[in-house]
Amino acid sequence: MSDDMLALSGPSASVPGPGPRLAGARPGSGVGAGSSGGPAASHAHGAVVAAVARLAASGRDRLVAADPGTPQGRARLLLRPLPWMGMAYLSAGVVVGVAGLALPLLAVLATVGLVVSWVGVPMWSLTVRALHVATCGELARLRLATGLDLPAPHAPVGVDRRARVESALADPATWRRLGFWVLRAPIAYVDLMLLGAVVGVPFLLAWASLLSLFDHNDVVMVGGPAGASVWVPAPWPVRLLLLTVSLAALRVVPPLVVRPLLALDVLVARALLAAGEEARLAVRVDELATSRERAVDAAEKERARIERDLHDGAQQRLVALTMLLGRAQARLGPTADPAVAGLLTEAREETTAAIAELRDLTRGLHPPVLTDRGLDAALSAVAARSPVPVTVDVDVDPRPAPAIEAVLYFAVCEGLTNIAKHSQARRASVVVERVPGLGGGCDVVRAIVADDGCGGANQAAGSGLAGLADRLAGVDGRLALSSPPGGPTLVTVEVPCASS
Amino acid sequence: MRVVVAEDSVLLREGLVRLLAEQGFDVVAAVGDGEDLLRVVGVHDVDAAVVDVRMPPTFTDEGLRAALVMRRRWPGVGILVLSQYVEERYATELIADNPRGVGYLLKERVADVAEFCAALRRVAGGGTALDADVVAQLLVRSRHVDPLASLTPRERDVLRSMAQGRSNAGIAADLVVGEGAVEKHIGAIFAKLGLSAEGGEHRRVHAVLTYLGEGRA
Repeated sequence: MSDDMLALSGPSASVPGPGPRLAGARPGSGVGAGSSGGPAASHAHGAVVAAVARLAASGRDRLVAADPGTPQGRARLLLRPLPWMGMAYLSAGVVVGVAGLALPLLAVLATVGLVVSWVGVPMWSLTVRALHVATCGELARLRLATGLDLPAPHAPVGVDRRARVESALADPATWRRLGFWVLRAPIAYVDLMLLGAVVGVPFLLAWASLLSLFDHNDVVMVGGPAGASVWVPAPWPVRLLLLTVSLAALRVVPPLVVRPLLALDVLVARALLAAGEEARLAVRVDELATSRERAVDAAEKERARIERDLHDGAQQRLVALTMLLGRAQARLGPTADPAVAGLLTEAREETTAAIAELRDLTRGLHPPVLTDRGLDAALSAVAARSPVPVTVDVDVDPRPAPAIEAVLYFAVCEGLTNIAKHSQARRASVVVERVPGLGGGCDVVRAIVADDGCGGANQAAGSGLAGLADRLAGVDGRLALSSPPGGPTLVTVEVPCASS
Repeated sequence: MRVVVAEDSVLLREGLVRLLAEQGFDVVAAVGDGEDLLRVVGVHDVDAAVVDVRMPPTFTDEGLRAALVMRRRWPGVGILVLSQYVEERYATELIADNPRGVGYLLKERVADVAEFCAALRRVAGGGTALDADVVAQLLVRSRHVDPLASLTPRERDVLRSMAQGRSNAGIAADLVVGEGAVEKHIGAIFAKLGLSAEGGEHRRVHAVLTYLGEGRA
């Protein structure tokens, strides 16, 4: 089965016949199955869907269809329906090509106009516009015939007519397209001649043999006195054979010829007409950058939401619990059972510990003070909790985007954690600054965590630094580590940010 | 003593009201956001307010901003701010240049009922009550790291307690020493830091907090 089937639901139909299928719905399953009217109606519905799909698909001659090299492929060739769409496309090509010659002609006139006077600019504008429309139209026509979706060029860009003309003239794609339209007519002419020969000759023979069955002359006039005269061999079994053979040829040969002709057209269109690979890649890069930014933002929002839920939920309840325990303790007079007092004290201590743990957890997820007050406040708080004395110097006015602040915050936290755990340092420092971009590029926010410890840190897999590098990659950030054995250690993190 | 409670969580609001009532405070009103708080304080005559930082509508720092408004409009009303996180930045903003009648505690400190009520009374009387966590952050954050390093460990303990707003008697009880020893330590601290030790206890707390807050960008 061809693997460009679109199975909606349920197993795809094993409908005999080559070529692509659209909705391959087996009767009874797929769209609409069981929706209304019971099994008989859905059976009929499925059959109708399948029939429509087959009809739609039969006109197309997909270039990705079966390979004639295999026996299956050859059999399919015999069974393949005539490529009407392909033939229609090739036949119409001449008309389109001749009309399309107007475009290069217009371009020449416009160039002359430019040289002569200002009138060349509106002429070129018209040419560019017409070129765009014609190109999109031709690509659509090609898509109708072959099903291939080549990328269409984008509309002419520019703030005003002059800018549009300038950008179009500077773009080599414009000239390639004009070249296509110069070639369109000759290629279409050759296509049509070949197609005519391939279809016309067997047709003529078949017609002649048919007529000769009713006529005992050796020479048959096809199409009246002005038409062609075809010599047909005398014995009528031979004439019958000729009829059969030419009918068969009519059936089998056109697809064989249409396909290479279409392939040639596609080749030329790909090379000259469609938007280039670079443009396609540029569009894709834009899409990817946007979607990545959205993904990173969504992750950050999700973390903030979890922090809020924890704050308003579990943390709140634990505080209420500890209040209740405190009130209970307060009511115990001096004559109370000391065991009870002891249990209450323990209960309160456990609750306080739980609250502290939850607080650390949420700080690790998303510290509220970071959103509320920025990197300076948040990093000061982290530094205050560090067992190693840390000085903090933050200067990032204006505030970077929240996702970038979050990444920098966690980078510094990771650095300080490593210092506390491994470095045996006596002092550490954190500096966060904004480095202006060169020549209109965007600013870079740089965070440097330094310590005077024993060094030897590395980005081995599984260490916090490796995870940090991954998270940095999400915002186009970079990590540089300098940690010779014996120290000192310097962790530098840089994140580009669009100036807000 | 007449107090107002501002806390958006019903669970905690009820808990606070009951706790305070049990300890002999007169809870005049219990509200759920900053605007209501300001309205109530304007109408009633209260001695102190217990205020949560995170309240509607934005759930960021409404309580803090309401507290700052209250300090300007009604400087005689003590404000004790509660939060599930204490951050040095909020403390600095709350204190501004006057730590009089201001407190900032972790919510769970409320469970130590005696301490909490003592802190509330202190704040109502014009004193200070800063959470130990916040003081630790302030100590670290201050630019005057080196002079602080010249203090002995004992003196640092006294300094920390002073910054929390404790009175001399309170410090003496905390560190299990006599009040005379506390006075001596305070004198030494102020000498080493180059501060004037005169004036009452409130003045000295003010001096310490100002000192710790100095040198910030």
